[in-house]
Amino acid sequence: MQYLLLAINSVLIGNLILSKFLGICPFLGVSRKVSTALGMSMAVLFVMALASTVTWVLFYTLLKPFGLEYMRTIVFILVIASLVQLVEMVIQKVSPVLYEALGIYLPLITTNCAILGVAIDTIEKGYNFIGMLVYAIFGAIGFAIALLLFAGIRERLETSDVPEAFKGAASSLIVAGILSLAFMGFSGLVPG
Amino acid sequence: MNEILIAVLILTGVGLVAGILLSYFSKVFYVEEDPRIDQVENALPGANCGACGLAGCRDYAKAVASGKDIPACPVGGPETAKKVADIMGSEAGEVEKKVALVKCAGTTERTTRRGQLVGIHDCRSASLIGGNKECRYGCLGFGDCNEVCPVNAIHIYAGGVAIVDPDACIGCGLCVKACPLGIIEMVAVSRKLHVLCSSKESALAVKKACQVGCIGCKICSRKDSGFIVEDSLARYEGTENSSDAPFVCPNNVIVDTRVYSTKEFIESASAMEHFNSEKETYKEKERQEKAAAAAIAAEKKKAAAVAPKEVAGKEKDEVVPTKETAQISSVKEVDKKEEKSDQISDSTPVSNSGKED
Repeated sequence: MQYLLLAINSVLIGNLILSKFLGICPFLGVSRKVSTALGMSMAVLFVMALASTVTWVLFYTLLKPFGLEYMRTIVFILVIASLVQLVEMVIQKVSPVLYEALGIYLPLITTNCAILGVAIDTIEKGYNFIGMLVYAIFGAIGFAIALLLFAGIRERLETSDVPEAFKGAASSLIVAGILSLAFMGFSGLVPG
Repeated sequence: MNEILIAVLILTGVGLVAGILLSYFSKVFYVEEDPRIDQVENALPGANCGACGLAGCRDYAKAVASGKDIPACPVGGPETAKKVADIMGSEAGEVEKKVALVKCAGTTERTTRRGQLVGIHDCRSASLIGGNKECRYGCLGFGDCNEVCPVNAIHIYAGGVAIVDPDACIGCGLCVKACPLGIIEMVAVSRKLHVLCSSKESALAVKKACQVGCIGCKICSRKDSGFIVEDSLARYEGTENSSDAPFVCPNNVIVDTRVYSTKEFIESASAMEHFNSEKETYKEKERQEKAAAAAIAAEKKKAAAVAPKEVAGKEKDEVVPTKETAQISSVKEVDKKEEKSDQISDSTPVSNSGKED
């Protein structure tokens, strides 16, 4: 029950993009097409789960025993950067099409603050291992939902008759705001 | 002390492990790539400037290696094009290296100001309210171009005009896009003559606004047909690069980059002095040449006139002497070329006309 609530919480209420404003760069950058948005979401899901696991283990086995909690940010950045490199290699080998589609945004996961945000958040909130996994995976799913919704809307915006002044980034940002507003409606879903 | 040591060790350890794992996995997940991509990339300048229209040199190399027909790298010039072509085993397309040129020489003291600009000091904002110079095409000198230049090739000196250092310029063309007035142009390095003005205003308006503006008088196009005058503005498109062309311009708008760099031409007073003295010499020479040419023509005419002189009517007789006086004076000029032509032409007609009478 506790994990279910945590899952709903991280997907809808505390959505990484729409209520915590983490990972805005890929949110605006790769949301032009649903297909690339899906690819990006999957890459983020993979990296986020992996990065959170590795950083959680590192924190509790290496940093905490030595009293180096203050070093978590720099160590996490190091770990995440290496992981992204690894993911990049894997994707290039496994799916060249996805690799092409993600383009520059794949290495940019390195600086995707959603990843680091989740990794640090799990430590901050003191989740246990399973809690951390649930939080990371569903956080990434929440990220994917927001990204896909946004990409779908933008695809339609592309073909609709938008006033000149609102074309492109302007209407995208307005849509992002309205989307965020809509997600605020979930805030009463889980009591407390 | 111990704490610091542990912190350093742990961070180094994590980094080391990550590095080892990465290098291991890079072997495991090695993807066969066209080896030509790397070769082409190495042959490129590596500025990642995006002037070719692709995201960077790597993307360009990929596009080339995949056999796409894309224009040669504008930064690298013919050398790079040749190298790339060698790698790809194809013919290099002709590509001429181009550098940016700010077509304005209107330094502060040469131009009329509209007033003091209060507000945001960048070209984009200033251009919205028409700039601070009387001339709408005058360089604003706030350095939007300098800002985007990846190699810092653009400088704004005391004159308040942006000047490109052609040796440092890599020809990426970013400044051309950044300039809100559109007065920066990419010019081929083989072109040595440049019209340092962008004003399409009428001659009167240009004269009012600037001492060194092109008034569209077309004198230059008569000297070198490579000059094209349109909308009261000259530009050079020829290949001849006639070294005399700068001297015929009444407003000193044309620079010959074989003699002066644009910086010297715009900023340096001594270069201007030198240019002016050269111009004087040229004008002097031209005057003499003109006189000489006139003399030769006169000689011919005289020879031709001698024969039918008897036949010629009375009316003609009256005209001929005056003409001949001038002609004779110029003949003398040819003989003593060292002498000042002015003196000769001033003094001789009197005596000559006396003789003739």
